[in-house]
Amino acid sequence: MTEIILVQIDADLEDIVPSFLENRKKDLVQIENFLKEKDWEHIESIAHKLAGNAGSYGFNDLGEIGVKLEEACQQAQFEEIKKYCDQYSQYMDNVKVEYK
Amino acid sequence: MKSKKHILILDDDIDIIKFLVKVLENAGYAAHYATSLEDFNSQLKEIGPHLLIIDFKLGQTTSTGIHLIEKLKKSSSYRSIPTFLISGSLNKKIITMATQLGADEFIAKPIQTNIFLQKIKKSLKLHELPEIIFDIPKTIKCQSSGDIAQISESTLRIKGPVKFAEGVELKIQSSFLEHLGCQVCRYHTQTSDRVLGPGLYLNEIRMIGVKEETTKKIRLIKATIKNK
Repeated sequence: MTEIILVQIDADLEDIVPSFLENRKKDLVQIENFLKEKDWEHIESIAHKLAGNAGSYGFNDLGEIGVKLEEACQQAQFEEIKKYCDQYSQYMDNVKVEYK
Repeated sequence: MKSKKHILILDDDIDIIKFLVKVLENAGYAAHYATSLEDFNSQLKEIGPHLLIIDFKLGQTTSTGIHLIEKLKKSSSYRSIPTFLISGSLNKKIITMATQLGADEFIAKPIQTNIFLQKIKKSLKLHELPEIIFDIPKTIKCQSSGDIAQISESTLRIKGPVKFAEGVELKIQSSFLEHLGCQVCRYHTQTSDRVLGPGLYLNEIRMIGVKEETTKKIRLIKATIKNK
């Protein structure tokens, strides 16, 4: 059974969080294509942004995945890249937001 | 009531931009943004911001932000605007380089909202111009540049950084007007000043003493434009 990832986000950000999460799903579609092409550079670029923006919104664990994915891309470690892309995908499937 | 401080952001990540705009507007600032250098340069001229926030990495290119800061700090028009460098990969080397080139402050991503707003407030206060109270003299002489936006036989519309009161006499230096034979004309401002944006006004100016030959040339310009 998959566990829900519950994240508490500042209520001031309520109207911009849905589009943020939508954009992350779009990133995942792109990442899937880049993985097939072994295009680490573009995945790194997506991961770099994720590392900076996710934590700012309050998705700290997602930001951490971004940091690790960016590092893995810089070292071109395929297994690690795949691992963190999977973690990214799982996070997006299971995240639930609660505004405080 | 104090007017809002304008802050211009340059970043290619639309989600970070949305976040910064939200945080800044909630804190009472007027936030503007650009996702490209071209757009940034154009807004910089139009808005005349009080503070700049520039991303270190724009697109796939690293250090673009630093080069931009270097350029701004060498410009006599923009060097006094407090400029923040924002980055997800801030390290000692980047901070040292950016400091030498004139960056005023650094913001690490992910952004800690409270620290970020404290830095903004502190920097704006530090760069605030002292309030000067003086008796308004009957006449003030000033010189500024502007663009002629429209011309008719008796009026001009000029876009520029000065908002004039009604009935002010202006001296206009313009090779275009000289070409039309306006050397003998006098110029008086009319009432319909329009604010086009922060620090940008459209002034309607009455032309007095326009010669028939000049009005013919103006009509010819209009006819040419209409026929195109």
